[in-house]
Amino acid sequence: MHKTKRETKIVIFVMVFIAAVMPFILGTKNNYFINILISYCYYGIMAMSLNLLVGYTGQISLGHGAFMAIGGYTYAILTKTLGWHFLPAIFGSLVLTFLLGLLIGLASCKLHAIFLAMTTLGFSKVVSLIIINEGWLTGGANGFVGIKKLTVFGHRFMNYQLYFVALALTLMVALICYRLIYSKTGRAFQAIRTAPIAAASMGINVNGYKFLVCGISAAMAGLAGCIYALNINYLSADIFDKSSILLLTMTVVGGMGSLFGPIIGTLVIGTLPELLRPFAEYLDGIYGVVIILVVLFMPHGIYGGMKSLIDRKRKSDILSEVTP
Amino acid sequence: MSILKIEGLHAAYGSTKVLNGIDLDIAEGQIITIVGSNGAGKTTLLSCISGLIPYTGSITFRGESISSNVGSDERVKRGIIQVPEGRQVFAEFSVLNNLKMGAYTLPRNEKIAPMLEEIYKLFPRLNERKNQKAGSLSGGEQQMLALGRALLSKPQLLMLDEPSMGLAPVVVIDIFKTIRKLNERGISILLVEQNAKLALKVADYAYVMENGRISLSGVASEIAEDEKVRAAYLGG
Repeated sequence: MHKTKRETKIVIFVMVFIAAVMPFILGTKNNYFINILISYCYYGIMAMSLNLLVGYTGQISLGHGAFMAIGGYTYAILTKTLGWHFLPAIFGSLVLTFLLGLLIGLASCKLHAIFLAMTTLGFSKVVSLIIINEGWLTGGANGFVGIKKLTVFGHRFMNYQLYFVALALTLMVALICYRLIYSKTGRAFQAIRTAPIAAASMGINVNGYKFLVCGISAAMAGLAGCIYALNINYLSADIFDKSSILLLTMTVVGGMGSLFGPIIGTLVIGTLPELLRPFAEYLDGIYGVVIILVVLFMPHGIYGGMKSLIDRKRKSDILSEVTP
Repeated sequence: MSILKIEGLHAAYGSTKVLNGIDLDIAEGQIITIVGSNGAGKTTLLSCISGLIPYTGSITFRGESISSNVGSDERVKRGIIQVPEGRQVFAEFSVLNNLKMGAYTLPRNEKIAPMLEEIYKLFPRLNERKNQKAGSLSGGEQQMLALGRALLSKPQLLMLDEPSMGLAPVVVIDIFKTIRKLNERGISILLVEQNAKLALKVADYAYVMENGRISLSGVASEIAEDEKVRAAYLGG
């Protein structure tokens, strides 16, 4: 199933190494860069979560930002309002997002792709309305302010230290995705996407897996929300509302249905707003153009495009060896 | 002894009734064919047996009654396997991984290597192409793959939905020879086929379906001689 294992390992090692030394190169006190690095982590987790849902099981979610919001707000409410420790609070928001994900999963068992997309869009609108209207709980339109920095045994984490926590969590999610995708369950996910009827006639419990993957994916998004809350210390509904499409862009541009795709997508799309600061008003338009270009010229995303280039080169290398 | 017995089966899509009381009996080790025009309800009948759509009426498999709420996965475990219409191979998986999907419900410690050997013997083509993506196979090869994949689920009753669809006549003959071979190994077969001529030749017993009902049944060779069947399905 996974050839070029050694090369892949090297690539992963190099990527993790670069990610780990980045704060020391850019300066551990440079909060601007550290915040960008942390944003790669939570967006990366979001893209992987969406990839599991869209790329591997073929179920489109247009409202994934809602799960990120629920994760973040749950964390904020549990730690600030109820005074929980950060670990049980993260666990609590994982459980809640997982359960709500199962709820969407119930819908996904009944609905075909486009209707599920509309359902998730509706779900995210409902979530953002609840956040805005239930001010006593969420801070309403003013947002949730004053989320505590990560503190363990009286030690307050610096931003760059938080980055390492976020990076570790991201790697953990990546590992879970990897284990899942190359397992029997992962093959079942992909079978459901390519040929659902055949999958059912192989004895795969199609609805059961759809249900499950929605829960897992939502919990991942919830984790990303927790990291967001820890980093920014402030939450507001509109940030998450806007991010659903951004996240889908990352996944599509990077390449769906591959492990590296979403990570590449996160790095590319996550960097764009910083590079294009002067054109901030046109950002949404630029995303649109990027999506159109990618769909036209690299239907399998940047990762898929690179892979087919490498494959082509390898083939021509072999040919040039054969023909003198 | 009958392996599958169906009595008074009704099924509907919403308010549209598709099956209006089907009675059907498959004797163990036989090839049964269901012939009928488009829209007669043949595929719906298979979907009921596979547990993909709800029904009322009774389905008894090996003497055990299977109610409508028994899931398709449980039925596969019991040995009811369907090869769906239009082959439905997993296009992005390699041939080998497609075959492995067939063994999905088998217990973990089950050795599939000897089973794969067996399938490669039956379909040498699949062995040659085992690392190729299934989507790149020809139609006939995909049908062989779909058959091979179904065999890895250890079927006792194999249901084939239009195995000849869209295939060249030479390939169709090959596929039907294989169906014979599988039957000789003791697998009972339920064959749904538009190519009634060929289906009646290979089958032991036949049912003719019209508008969600069985209109005629009998020994396949006799059905093939029936005046009405000849006029309707065999081109006079």
